[in-house]
Amino acid sequence: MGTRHIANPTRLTLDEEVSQLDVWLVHGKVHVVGTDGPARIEVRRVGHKGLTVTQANGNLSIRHDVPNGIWPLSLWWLGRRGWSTDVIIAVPPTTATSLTVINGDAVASGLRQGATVDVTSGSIAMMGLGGQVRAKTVSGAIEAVGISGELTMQTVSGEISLAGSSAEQVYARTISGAITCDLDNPRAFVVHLDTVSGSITVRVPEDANLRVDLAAASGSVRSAFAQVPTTNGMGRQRATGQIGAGTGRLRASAVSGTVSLLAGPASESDEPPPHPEETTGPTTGGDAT
Amino acid sequence: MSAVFSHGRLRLYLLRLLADGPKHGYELIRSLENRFHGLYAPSAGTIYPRLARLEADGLVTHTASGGRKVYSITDAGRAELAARADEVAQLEAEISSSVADLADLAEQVEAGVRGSVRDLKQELRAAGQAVRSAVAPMVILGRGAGETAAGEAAADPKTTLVRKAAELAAEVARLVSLGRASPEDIRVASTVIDSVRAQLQHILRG
Repeated sequence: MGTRHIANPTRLTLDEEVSQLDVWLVHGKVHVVGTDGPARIEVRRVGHKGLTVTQANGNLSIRHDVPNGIWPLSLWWLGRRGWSTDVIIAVPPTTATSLTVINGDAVASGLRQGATVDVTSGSIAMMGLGGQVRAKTVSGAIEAVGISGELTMQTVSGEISLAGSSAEQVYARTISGAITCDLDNPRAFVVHLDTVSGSITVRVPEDANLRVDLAAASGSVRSAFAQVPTTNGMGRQRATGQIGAGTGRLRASAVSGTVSLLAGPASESDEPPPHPEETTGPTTGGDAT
Repeated sequence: MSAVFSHGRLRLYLLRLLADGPKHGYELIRSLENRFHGLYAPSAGTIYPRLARLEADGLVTHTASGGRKVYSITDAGRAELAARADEVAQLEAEISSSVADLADLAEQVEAGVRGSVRDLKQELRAAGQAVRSAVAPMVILGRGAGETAAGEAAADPKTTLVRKAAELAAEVARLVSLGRASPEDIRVASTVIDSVRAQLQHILRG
């Protein structure tokens, strides 16, 4: 398809394969959906500066053209006028995706092979992502649901929430904001949660296997696991201990705020791993009529 | 527009899936995932509590097969499904259209994320309160302020704090002078300092 300039709301269906997606917006909202079928672009709103769509060798790029020499931060000030864009993009679930928005929101879902989402001022929402997932914003919330693989979430000022996820690695860090994290994968994982000002609530399955270290400098620490008792020292609370075999590691620390560790329902231990074809899953599953 | 699976509708759809034949939890998750072209993959933590509740209400039952729970719908479950046939049809229609129309799909995803996060926070807040009342006596009875690490007690904590604050300023100056940080990094770091300062004021003023 080559390059085309989009000046008005439009819908495009691409007939070429897409294996990589790069989006770079000054202002507006981008929503990427991983789904089967051809790649599609729906530009719902576009400012008078337009939008440039380029496709070559499986790479799809959708971006605001910014004159050379303007560095992103000044766009954060200039922003808005002429740039404001709202675009939805559907690509195959295996597309390697990178989204950058200076001022606005980003949403990503259904991508199985990782995604990098970088927002300066605005929120990030993610659903059903796998692989290496990185979400970073300076000022805004990060909300994620159903994430597997390795997940990194960072914000300076904003809340971080992770619901119903089987991620094996979770790194979440905020300076000012709460962290809520619900994990249901009992297998070994690494979880690091940090906030300066805000509370941390983390729930892991009863049958998790974790070494736990929770600390709050001026808040309190609460644990629903008897194996992880709370201790006081110098007005600082900590809770350390081991759940199950202790193969994974959970570390959470808050400077001012409460750290709570909750126990979730034990996942069924006989649950087949994500690739049933490699296990006895199909044979046992076969007796379902 | 509400999420496809707002309150109670996932439960209804689980019944609907079980009406096609018994399934174990993992199969239910896969069925949902397939229905949404891989877009919506509910976790075990979402599915099992709902199945447990359906079972408590007598709408599904389970048998253990090969050490795995296989769930099936009961007569009461079928009756419930029949009574809510309109709702089921509406839900099916919404699911189909949500997958076909990109804008609609996008909306569903956002509503889904928002709804799940909101539900989770509510659930954890309730669970957190339960823990609080359960552990409160333990904290009081447990090792209290008497347990002070010997190392920390040796140095005067006040002196240590002031020294650390001075070290921080020196460290910032050193890092900035290296000139590796981008203007954006500098701005972020500045926000961090503001936030830390606000925190310190909050803590130290007592």
